[in-house]
Amino acid sequence: MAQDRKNICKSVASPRASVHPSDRELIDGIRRGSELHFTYLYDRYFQRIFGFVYLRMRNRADAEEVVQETFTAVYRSIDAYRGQSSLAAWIYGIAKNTVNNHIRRSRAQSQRVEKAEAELTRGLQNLDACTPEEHLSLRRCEDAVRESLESVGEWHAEAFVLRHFEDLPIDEIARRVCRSNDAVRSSLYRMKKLLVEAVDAGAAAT
Amino acid sequence: MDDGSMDFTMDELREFLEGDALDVRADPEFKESLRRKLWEMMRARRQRPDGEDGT
Repeated sequence: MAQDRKNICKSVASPRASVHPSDRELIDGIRRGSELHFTYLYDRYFQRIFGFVYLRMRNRADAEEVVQETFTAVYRSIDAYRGQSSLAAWIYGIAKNTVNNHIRRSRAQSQRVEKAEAELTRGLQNLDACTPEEHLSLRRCEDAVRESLESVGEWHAEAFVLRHFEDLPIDEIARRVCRSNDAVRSSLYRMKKLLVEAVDAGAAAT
Repeated sequence: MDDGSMDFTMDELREFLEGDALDVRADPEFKESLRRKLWEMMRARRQRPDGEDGT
């Protein structure tokens, strides 16, 4: 790092040198294993990527997850960058693909959640018509769901109930549980994932 | 991820650049923690022989 600082300082000291290293210099430095160049590139593009992702994810928790995936892909692929497009365009392509993949996964997850909810509800509504094995399966699912709800902080479970059983809007839930709208949305998303896993685990146990 | 997957418009690229002006900032702790994780990942990859980067 000390040698890199000297090199960057030399380039700053030269009257004709630009104050900021070019993207090409950053790539070369990173490939040489320079932490300084690595950090320079990170700082240069971080807010841009975060802003782009946040506008699409609309909540901080998901934006952070996608930003992490994006930068991981950027640094893992840095050796494959050939300079045919600008670095900004190359990084943008990675960010766009990462966002789209995340949205696709979320949709698939939501579909699984809806299916699991529908099956659980249908089962509970037709308890009288269930066989003993189906009863057992439903009870195990219920137990798994209850355990999941008990394993999280109180406000998460409360937010879930207010949303799915009382059908309250997000800002009203946020007011009642004293959290931000973003925090509530993020919590509801994670609770759904937790419950799908719980229902799957309950069904698998039969 | 080579340079070949650049099928987007200038409008989309402009949209990307607008992220700079967004009034929402990341949590500084998250930003720094991610930086450290990424650097560790880079260091670990450089230390492994070719073809064994764990990806």
